[in-house]
Amino acid sequence: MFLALKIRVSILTADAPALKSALDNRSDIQSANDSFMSFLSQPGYWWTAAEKIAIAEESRLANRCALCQKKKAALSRGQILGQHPPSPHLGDEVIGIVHQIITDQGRITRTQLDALEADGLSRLAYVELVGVVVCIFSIDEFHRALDLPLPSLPHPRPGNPSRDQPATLEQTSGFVPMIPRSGLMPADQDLWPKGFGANVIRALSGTPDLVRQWKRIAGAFYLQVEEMGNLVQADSRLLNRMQMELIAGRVSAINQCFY
Amino acid sequence: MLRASAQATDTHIDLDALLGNESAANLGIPHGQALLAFTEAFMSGDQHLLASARHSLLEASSPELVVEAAGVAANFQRMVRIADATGIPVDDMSAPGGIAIREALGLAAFASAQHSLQTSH
Repeated sequence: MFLALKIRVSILTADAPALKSALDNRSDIQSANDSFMSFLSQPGYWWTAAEKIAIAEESRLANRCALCQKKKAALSRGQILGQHPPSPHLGDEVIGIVHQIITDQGRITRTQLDALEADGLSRLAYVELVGVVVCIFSIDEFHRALDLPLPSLPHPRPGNPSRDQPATLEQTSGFVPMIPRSGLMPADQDLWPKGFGANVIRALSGTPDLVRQWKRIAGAFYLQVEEMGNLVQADSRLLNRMQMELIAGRVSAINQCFY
Repeated sequence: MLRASAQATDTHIDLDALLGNESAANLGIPHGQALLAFTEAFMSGDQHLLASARHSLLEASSPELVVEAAGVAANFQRMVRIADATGIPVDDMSAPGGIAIREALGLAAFASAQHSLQTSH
């Protein structure tokens, strides 16, 4: 029994060099990860670099958070009271929403975000927070899938948030303001191709660099936006589109994603 | 998108695969069963199960394909969280294909369905 287990572990461990070699040939993935870490090290729109990195650190802690596990299991999250271990850079409400985006995102409500806004977390600061959380989570999940160590988070660079925001924002649906589909200003023309602008692309457009970061990661992990219209097989991929969408659809179903 | 991609190649598939049915995943989709098992193991959070499923997929395909599969899975861990955290509705609730899929898979029961169902009424 013990010998069989040992042999099995040896076989699985033996997979690592082949996977590492395959990953070494994917410079686009390495480049997207490095780009995000560099982005993370710099002050953002509404958060300092130290705060952005603290948001990423909390994202990594979320799945091990006992309080969040209790909230996730509860019929109503409000039934479970408690505070998260403190962070030197983030308040408890911010830590709470970071953890919820990872552990229980389907139960985030407008009312909840209105309360956070009343406590000082503006909608655009929230958009930036969401962008940081989802990008680092995606990178970490990729590493977990291949049993690779998580990349180190960067050291923060000094400086204040820019507080820049797009000239054209609207909030006609969803919880956050977005650039209208046909409202891209010249500096943001790269955010989505003309006539595309699906809600999931526009969702983070209140902080345009977060759209750029997630598009870069998506282009490496999945497909470039421009390739998404090819429903057969992208030239750059071994997986055909059905294989990709089987994985995508099952991940989305388990996450109870209606979108 | 699974249905659309199958239609694009005139391939007969079984959408029960999206409900976790491994034999359904094998219909028309190369390595479908191994890919679904990998996805299930990834989502389970059980690293031993994941290691075993990853090994099976690797044996059935190639390291390069496993890296791609990991990328797609990780990508959609992000997409769902963008959608739900920002409360965005489905772009076109009236598209016939979307209506059929949502009914077939019972997606209206998901908590995040309210983001789209409220705006489409």
